[in-house]
Amino acid sequence: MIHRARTCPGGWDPGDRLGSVKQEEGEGGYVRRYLKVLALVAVLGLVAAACGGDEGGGETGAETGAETGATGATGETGADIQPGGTLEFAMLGDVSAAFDPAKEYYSVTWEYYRCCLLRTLLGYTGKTTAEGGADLQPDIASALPEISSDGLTYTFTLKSGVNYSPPFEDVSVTSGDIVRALERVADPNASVGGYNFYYNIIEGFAEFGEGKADTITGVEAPDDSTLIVTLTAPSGYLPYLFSMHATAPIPPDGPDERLGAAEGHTKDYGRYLVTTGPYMFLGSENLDFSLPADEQTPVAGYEPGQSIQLVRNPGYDPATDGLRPAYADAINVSIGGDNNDLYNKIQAGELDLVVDGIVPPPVLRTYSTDPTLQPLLHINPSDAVRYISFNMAAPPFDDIHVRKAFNLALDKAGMRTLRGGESTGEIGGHIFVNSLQDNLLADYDPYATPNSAGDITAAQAEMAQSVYDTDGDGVCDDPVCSGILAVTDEADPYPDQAALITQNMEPLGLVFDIKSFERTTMYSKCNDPSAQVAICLAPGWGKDFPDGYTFADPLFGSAAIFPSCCNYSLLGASPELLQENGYSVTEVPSVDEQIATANAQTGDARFQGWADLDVTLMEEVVPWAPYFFDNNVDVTSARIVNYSFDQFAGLAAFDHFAIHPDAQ
Amino acid sequence: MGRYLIRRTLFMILVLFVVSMITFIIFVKLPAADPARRAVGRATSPENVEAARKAFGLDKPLYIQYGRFARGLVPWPGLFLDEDVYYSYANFVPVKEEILGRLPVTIALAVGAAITWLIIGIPIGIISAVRRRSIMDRGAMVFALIGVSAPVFWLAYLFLYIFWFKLGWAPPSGIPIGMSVWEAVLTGRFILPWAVLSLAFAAFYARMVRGNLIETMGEDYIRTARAKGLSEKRVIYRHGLRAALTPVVTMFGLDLAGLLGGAFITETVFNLPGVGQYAVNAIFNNDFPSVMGVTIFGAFFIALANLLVDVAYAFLDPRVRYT
Amino acid sequence: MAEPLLEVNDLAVHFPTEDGLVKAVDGISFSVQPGESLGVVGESGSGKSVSFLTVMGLITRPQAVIEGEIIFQGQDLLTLPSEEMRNVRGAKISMIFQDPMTSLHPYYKVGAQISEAIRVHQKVSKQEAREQAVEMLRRVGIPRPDERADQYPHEFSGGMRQRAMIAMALSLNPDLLIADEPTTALDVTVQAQILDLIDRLREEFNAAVVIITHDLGVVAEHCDHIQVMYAGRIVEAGDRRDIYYKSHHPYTWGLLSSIPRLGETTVKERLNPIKGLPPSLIFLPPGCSFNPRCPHAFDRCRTEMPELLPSDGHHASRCHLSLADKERIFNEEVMVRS
Repeated sequence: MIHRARTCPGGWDPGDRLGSVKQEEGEGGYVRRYLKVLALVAVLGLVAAACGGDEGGGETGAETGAETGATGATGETGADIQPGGTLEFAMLGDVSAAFDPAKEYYSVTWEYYRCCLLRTLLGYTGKTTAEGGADLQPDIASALPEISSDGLTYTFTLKSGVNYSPPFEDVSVTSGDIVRALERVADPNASVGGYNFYYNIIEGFAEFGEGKADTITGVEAPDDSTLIVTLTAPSGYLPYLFSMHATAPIPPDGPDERLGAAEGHTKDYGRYLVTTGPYMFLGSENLDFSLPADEQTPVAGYEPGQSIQLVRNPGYDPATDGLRPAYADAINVSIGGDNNDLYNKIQAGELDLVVDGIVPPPVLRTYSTDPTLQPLLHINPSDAVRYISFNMAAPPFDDIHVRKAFNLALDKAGMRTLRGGESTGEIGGHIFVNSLQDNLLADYDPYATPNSAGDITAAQAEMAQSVYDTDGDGVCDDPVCSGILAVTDEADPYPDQAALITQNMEPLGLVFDIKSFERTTMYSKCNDPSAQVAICLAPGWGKDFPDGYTFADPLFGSAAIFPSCCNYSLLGASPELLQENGYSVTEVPSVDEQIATANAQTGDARFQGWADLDVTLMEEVVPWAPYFFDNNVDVTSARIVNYSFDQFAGLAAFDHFAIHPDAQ
Repeated sequence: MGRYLIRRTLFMILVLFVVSMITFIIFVKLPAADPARRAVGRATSPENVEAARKAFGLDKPLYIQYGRFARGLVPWPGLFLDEDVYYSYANFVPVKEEILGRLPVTIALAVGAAITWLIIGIPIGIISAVRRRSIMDRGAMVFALIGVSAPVFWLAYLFLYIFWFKLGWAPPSGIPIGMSVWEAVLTGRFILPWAVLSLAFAAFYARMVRGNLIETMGEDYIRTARAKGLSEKRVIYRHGLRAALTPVVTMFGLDLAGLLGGAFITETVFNLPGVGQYAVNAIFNNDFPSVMGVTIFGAFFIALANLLVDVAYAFLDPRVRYT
Repeated sequence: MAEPLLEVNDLAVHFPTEDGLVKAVDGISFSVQPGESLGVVGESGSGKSVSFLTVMGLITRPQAVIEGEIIFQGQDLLTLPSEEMRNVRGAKISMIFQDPMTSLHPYYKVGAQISEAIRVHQKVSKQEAREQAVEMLRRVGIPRPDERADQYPHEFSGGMRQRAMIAMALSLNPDLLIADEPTTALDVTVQAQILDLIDRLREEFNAAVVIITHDLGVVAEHCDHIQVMYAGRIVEAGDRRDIYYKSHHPYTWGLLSSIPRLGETTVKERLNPIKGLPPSLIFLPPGCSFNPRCPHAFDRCRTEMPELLPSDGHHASRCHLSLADKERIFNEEVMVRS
């Protein structure tokens, strides 16, 4: 069973890159309050420039949209790239599990691992989908794995000369070190909040985790440079699992210590992390693994909740790595602070990037309208979708015409405006984010309407075909359409969006009984079929690794119905399950077979498989009304000359950042 | 006095238990969301939720869960905020380590701000009381009104925006990585936080001193002092202030203790890695043991300050006796 | 007659308030001879305390509108600069107050409060001042004065505190001691002790004493002269015997009637208060201020204010009744009851 991460543990909202859901809400509140403050200040005439007084009259935000897309992988400012200098970053909140690779289920941490700290068998280039950033590349492995003809056995060959950071700088990575990492992932205590469930497709993994076996039978290391993985069933996404940092090698440390350097650090290995990437934590060389675990002193370069300091790893040999330019000599990250203040620091040149910030609207306006600042604004899709999900067993949404009518009536442009406008994301026309299909469906929208504002005429024509519209006037006249149980998130912008949806659906005769909950509770209600929630207004989903399986199975597979997650539409629900939960509808379509078909593909054929599934879902099943694909918006300081966007983590690729020679 | 101290200490422990019980009920019994589910994320298997529940001890009966936390309440080395229970669910760092590590920043902030607000607030209060209804008095009270009513986060951001971003008179927020608290104080990193934090207090203290002094100056013993032929200065400073400032000491003790428990907003906006910032993060992350730890720590400080203030009162006001 | 120690001429003290001008003291004249004791009697609000707080310089301009003269030892205190007035206050004129519980500073030791007063006016060392303070405490009859000097006021009983106040007031050997309701807040038994003490010390220190009280009984045995005040004016003044045995003013009669007498048995008979309430000091009634409460008032009383006229020697009263009527009514209605 597979699910997605892309977010922090508590934050189940794909676009939410902060420490937690609540933090986003809090900061959002600050943002709004500060805007009011700035307005007041401007009125008082104290700081007239506060609200961007240099903005040109009559200009619209149209150019902002044009900015969207891949921006400069190489020297867009025309300056030469020269290694050196220290990057100064800030984060509003800390990473989610103190850098423990088995626990970190947060895209920000994944970017630190990818760019800087942990190499894995396979990896990514730190670029956009269009530049191949969603494609797997060999990293510690010398090539992509060999796959047996039955699709059950994967053989990886390791490069030589990939060494660890001090104090293990003379130790080379072996296949046994990957096995060690997998054994640690299998331990449910060491991977609390992690994603060990992904690895259950490896033979013997679950048994080892439950303590029923001494080894994971499906993982073999016949020699130091070979790793053979055997699966219980063919699964084309297996290679992606070895790009995840829970499988990053852990160095051995004495014969008694099965988990090597991580031995005894069930809770806190992140603070003793031995790295393989171009960087390591400051003071890594002072780690003393000869002491008992509880007497060891953690690295100086990571103070939880306060700061991260990365310096060059003397054990790293760039000759073994074709993926990471690693221009900067060091990366300093301060944790905490006020969102607006941090963006002021970027403008003042004190900071280069706010990793998990939300660009304040006045700053966004300034950077999108000033031609000299535009190159410093970077807008890229962060691979998350926002949607409204229909419970296909709950009338009136058991009727496909009602679901299609809903899709046609929805004012997606209005929904986006309520989320913060054009720069925050693209109008969503389908389900899978584009990187998972190699942009095959980038322009696809079966329910496109003029200006994406909804089309009541088309929607009513669709509704007229519904069994719930007996007189065919395009307005639902069945009693089930009044008081439809809808659940939404109580945090902004969802209440406003719920009001817009209510307004959009009124001409169709759909009247909702809207209940608002705290986000976690909202998701529980939507997930639980016995709650009989007919429509869930506020969900979102992001990918874990760049494979469509992370969307298909957890969202539409029949195994992802309660108590698992997150098939809210109940696709593939059995008649017994529907009856037990009190539904009169006895059958809901299933896409299990299409999922299996797509998943059996390997290589580029997988992209097409997921695209086909997407079209089937959008046109024949219609479990959702998707309306928005999130963007990641970054503003960098003027001295950063080589911004790049990592499609894997959906964040800026820190290893590509170079500091202008004059500013080093 | 000895018996009094013992009684007060026991009472203090009782207060900690009550505070912890309430915190426990809010976060464990009536949480916004299941901590285990929150910890594992939405996309996970039911087995993982169970594993998290077990790891956090949430599978045990409530009284055992509370009991584990309750042990950490006894203000005794080794027991207080016991590391086996009080560690962050997010990053597994012991709460005590975090709090003690962050305490110097909080102390620097709180003590500096406290000195500032005393230096500003008390003289303003005195001048206002002595020159009642003068322009000085009215100006000071307008200052007090603004200071008391301006929200701290607003002031904090405004000050940063004006004095750092626009004018460049003050250093930016935060303490640069690798800089000690003492260096940060010396390089002026605390100037704006002190100013912001002390403004509201200074305003409040000015009002309080003014009110107290005006009231005191109407007392019979002030008339006696005047009847003795004392100069007005001596009447005000030796007789009036002596009585007017005694309640200020009580307030001061509690305010300072409250800040040592964390100046939440100031530390957050100015990115000062103190106890308050830790508390805010803990609450946002629903990190229960951290919330509990920081609450207990804050309550402990306030209870302790209460005790110290009461003892100090005995020295300041001879009428007070402890039995 | 020797030159008076204190001579007050036409003193008026008016307080401007939001409701109007409060005429707390409205043109009073009197004098105090050295070593003499004067009793000033009246209800609260009659202006008796205000007039002496003004003498002390504790009520000053611009807090109040003050007119007239206060000649003390040949100097007009009202024109004295505040710095010089401070040298008079506490040293030459001192005052004790009604409530000894609140009149001492609660945070300072009793001895220190007395020595502070000494050191303000005399250049003596702390040690000397303390010795003087202890001596004063001994002289006012406080046992173990050396120990008591180091105690705080709350450790003293009410009577002891008033003794301490007296010690403080007399510590600089003043020429005039003003005692404002010195016994009102004390137990009856303690009252007599304090009054006796004041009497004894008056002779010892050869100071003039003014006792301000609402209770004629208090001044009966302790004052040479008595003046009765009503609504900011003196309504009757005379020797003690004049006031007690041939009072000429209906208000004084009322006060005399309300003195508790020995041997009276029933509450009904004993309490014979003056009916009605003191008048508003902002809107005084036309004519005699006392006329609304006076059982003997006639038409003239309601239109014309009587002058303070002497009948014989020192004895003067402010009443339209004829002398014959006054004597008759006093003998028939007041003395009978006494």
